[in-house]
Amino acid sequence: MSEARLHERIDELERKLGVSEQTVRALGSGEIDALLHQDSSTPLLLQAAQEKLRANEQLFRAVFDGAMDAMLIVDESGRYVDVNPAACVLFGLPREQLLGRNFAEFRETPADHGRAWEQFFQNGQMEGQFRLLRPDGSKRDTDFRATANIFPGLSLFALRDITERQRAESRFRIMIEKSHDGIALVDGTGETIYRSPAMDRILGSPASSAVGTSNFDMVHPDDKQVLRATLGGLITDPSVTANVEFRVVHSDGSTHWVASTARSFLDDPAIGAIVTNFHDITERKVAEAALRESQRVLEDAQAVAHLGSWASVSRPDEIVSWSAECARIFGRERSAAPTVEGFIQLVHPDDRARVIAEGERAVAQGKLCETEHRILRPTGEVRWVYARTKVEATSPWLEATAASRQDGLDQAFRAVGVVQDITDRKRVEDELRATDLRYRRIIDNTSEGVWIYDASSMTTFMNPKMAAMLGWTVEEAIGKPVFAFMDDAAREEARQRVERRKSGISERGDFRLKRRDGSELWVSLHADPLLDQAGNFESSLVLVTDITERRRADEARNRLASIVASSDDAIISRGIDGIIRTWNRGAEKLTLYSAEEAVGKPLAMLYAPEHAAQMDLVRKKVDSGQPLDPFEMIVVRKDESRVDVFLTKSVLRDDAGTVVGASIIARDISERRKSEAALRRSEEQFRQAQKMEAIGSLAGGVAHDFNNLLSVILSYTRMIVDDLKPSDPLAADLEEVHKAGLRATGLTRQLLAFSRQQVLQPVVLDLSQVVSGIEKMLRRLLREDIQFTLLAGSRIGKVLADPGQIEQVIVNLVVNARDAMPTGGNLTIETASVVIEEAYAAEHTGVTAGPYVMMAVTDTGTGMDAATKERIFEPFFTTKDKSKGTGLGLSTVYGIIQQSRGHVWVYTELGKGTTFKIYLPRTDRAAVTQFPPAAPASTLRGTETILLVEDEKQVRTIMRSILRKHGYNVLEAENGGEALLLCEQFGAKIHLLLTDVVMPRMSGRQLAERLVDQRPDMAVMFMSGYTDDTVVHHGVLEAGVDFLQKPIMPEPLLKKVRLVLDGLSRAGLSAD
Amino acid sequence: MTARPPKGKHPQLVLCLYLAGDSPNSALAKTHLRTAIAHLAKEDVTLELVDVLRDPARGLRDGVLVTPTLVRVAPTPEQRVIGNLRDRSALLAGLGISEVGRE
Repeated sequence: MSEARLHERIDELERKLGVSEQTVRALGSGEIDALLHQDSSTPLLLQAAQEKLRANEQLFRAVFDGAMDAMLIVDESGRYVDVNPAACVLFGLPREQLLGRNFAEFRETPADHGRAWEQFFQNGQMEGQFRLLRPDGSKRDTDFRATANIFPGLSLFALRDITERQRAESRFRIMIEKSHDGIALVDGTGETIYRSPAMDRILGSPASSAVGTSNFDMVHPDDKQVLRATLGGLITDPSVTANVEFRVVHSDGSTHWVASTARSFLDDPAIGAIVTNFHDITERKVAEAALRESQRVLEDAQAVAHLGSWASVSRPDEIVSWSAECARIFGRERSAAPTVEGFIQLVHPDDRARVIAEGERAVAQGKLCETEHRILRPTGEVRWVYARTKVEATSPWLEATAASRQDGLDQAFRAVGVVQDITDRKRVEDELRATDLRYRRIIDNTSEGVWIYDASSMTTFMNPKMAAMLGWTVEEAIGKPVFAFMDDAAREEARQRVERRKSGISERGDFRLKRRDGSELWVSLHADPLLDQAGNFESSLVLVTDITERRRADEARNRLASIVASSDDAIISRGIDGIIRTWNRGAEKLTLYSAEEAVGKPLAMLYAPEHAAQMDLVRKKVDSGQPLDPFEMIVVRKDESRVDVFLTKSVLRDDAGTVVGASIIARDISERRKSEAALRRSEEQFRQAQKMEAIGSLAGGVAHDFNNLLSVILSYTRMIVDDLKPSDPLAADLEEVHKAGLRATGLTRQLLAFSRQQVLQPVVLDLSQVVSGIEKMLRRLLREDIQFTLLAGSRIGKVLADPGQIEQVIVNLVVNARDAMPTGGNLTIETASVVIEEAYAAEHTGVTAGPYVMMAVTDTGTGMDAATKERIFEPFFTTKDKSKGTGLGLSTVYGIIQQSRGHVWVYTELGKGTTFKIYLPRTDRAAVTQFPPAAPASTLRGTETILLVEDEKQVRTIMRSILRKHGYNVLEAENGGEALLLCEQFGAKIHLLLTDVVMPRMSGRQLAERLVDQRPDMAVMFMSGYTDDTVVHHGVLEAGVDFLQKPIMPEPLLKKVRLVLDGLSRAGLSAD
Repeated sequence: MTARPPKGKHPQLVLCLYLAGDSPNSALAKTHLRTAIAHLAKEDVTLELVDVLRDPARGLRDGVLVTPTLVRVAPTPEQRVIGNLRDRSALLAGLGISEVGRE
């Protein structure tokens, strides 16, 4: 029979039973109107049956009284109107005492019965349990069932004493009902006949729907078959006890695991069912699954992490249990696990001692032992591992190991550890360390500064180069704000830059920092923001290059450039192609080309054509890198004028050393050239002057001796001639001797003039008047084919000069000009006032700047060549025939002019003519009116006493003779000392001291000064062959001094003596 | 002791009340049933009234032995309530609706 059919049948039977019960009750309560019966075609209306019922009342009474249950009839107020014997037993009261009592009196706890009673009548029946309180105080538990209006106005209460059953069952029921496990009873047909409340929870469905044949509805489809088979087995074989785990699906859709234990008691008539125990093991199952999952995850994690674990919980010499990954790390089978001690044998021999030492120390300190070491796999492969081991022992691990081996005692020992394969990490670390080191080295050794500072501008990193730039050490610099390395102005700018950086902006630029010593540090920097992983500003990375030197170099270059620009020297550069590249102001000045005009043009345009070939060589030499000495050349300027330059040419190379052109520095040396020429001229002039001086000295010396000789010759000759009768034939011969003597005297005088040793007696003169004064005489000197022109300037100023000498000069020059024009020509004399400039004076030796009077004598004659011109002032140099000139004319001119503080200059050009220019210094003195020429002495005779001092005996003798012959008393002395002696001895008046100037020991002047005090009224007259500083300075006679020029001749001597003695002689008058 | 869960959520309720003319209990039953049905407003209820006095064969054919009898024709299984339906809880149980307020 199928389960469904079984259920249906049960249901049907139950329904029928329920209908029957209802029918009985309804009949009892008079609710039935009619009965239907198959035998009757019409329903039987019940009023007819009531008689029959009444007849049955006696039967009811018998049932009532004989019932086992207590039965009580209650009226509408709840009072007992009838009770059966069982009720008397239950209540513990006799019928008489029970009747009339109220139901409520026996309740254990008083309660309001009104509502329940009312409801009872409304519902018609009531059932339940009721604890009865008996009059003796004992209590009885009852089940009751009440039917209202069983007879009109009367209700039937039936009570059953269940006190004992209640007690016995309640414990078990409570036990079963309260049990966490579900308990169900299944009958032999497989139907559940009981299930405890916990079943609802376990099976996830309410009891009302779970009891019955549909036991397997909530079982998971996959488990239904197993469960049915088990149940079938239990039914067919009652001796079996079955344990099954299966899943159920709760009404809320969740799946639960249930463990079920079933045992058949079908054969036990007291039970007659299979007792099944259900237990929800979902949590256990979940926990088991979770454990399995976590173990799997752990395994996976270990494999992924290369992290193995092991543990030993007993003894050091026992094999440990290790994880699969642990075994893999050691390169062994999982089954080939070592002992705790054996682990040490797996450590690489080189690391073993260290690992043992660390292990012992950790165990001794009760700490975890952490080591990184190598291990050896059986294949010989070396791996790096990180091991963490915890050993717990009552005594340190190794001791415990030893102890346990010795005495076999179990030490309290526990060891667990993890081992991680860090070979890859090690390798990466090594590489990282190497890389890091490499970067570190790079950063430490880079020539760039590296600087990192955080968001608060604190320095967090600085490489040594950066620190060195700033003059700090790295340690000092770190932690300092960046602003500590700059001045106030830079600080403000830096703040702005830092803010920009925070907004993620990179920057490049130059910046000024401050070194520790306060000096400036110019840097070029490249700053970038560094962001953290979230992209927020973390710090600034700044790469810094020291450009202080570069800036200095720039400044130096600029300075150099400005020097070049402002240089007076032309500084030019050209390319290898010879084209001008740069052109400074000096170049503009030198060449007159502007930079615009010159740059881009070939440099060769500046060279004089005749230098082209040479410059080509120079260029090749420079471009080949050979050094070149500076040289001089000629530059052709823009206006085609030429200028002498001093040129320095150097090769120009680029940074790689390749020749890229040349620099040219040119200096204008035309001025220098001029001054060099001037210098050469000055030297020449000086040399010439010296030569003339030497010649003059020589001539002077000769003339002196000559004069003495001539004095003797001329004096004697004159005396003899005077003594002879004019008819004496000897007289004519002696006259010739005398003439020759006079010519010799002229020569001597010219020599002295040239040597500037003749005595001049200068006066203030107007040169124009002097020339005009002798114009007639000059014209007589010239031939007719010579045109003479006099251009005498008026108001040309005065000069201080000896007029006779000046006349001599003019005559000499005119004669010279005449002789230079043998075929005729023009001769011009002009006078003018000129001023000689300093510049001219500087260039000409012996010339002083100032106002001058110039006289020029110009001819249009043959002119002179340079060699001739050089020697024209030398004595005895002449280009004329021997018969025509003495060679002393121009020498005399030269000497006189020089002696008069003037100078003479010659311009001559061969074939064109010559100009002599004479310059005499202008004087501010007024012209002195000339004394009228002294009247010739009327007589040459006298009787005065004359002291004659002359060291030359011949001259003294002849002079004494001349003077005595003309009546004078003559005292003779050979020198100054003798003269002084004579003066002392001679008591009479000495009228005149006539003394030679140049004498040994005491000069004539010294002698005169000594005698002035002794004989104040004695006149003094000097005589000399040439000038001497004692009497004359530079040939100019002092005022008030009487002087007689040698050679001594009788007439001039006598005249002069007579003039002096007569007091007519005065300084400033010519001796002649 | 046993009951099967309802097959549908809102099964149609088909009732048949067997009466015996205007007998007192039949009249009471009709009144009680109408009151109860009125309280089941949400149910889709079909009620058939069978007077056995007019059609006694029908009552016998349907296995009705006394009147008044209420038969729940649908949903199956068939349920019967005997009497004048004075007992509200019994009536509701018969109609397959849980009782409330029972002691």
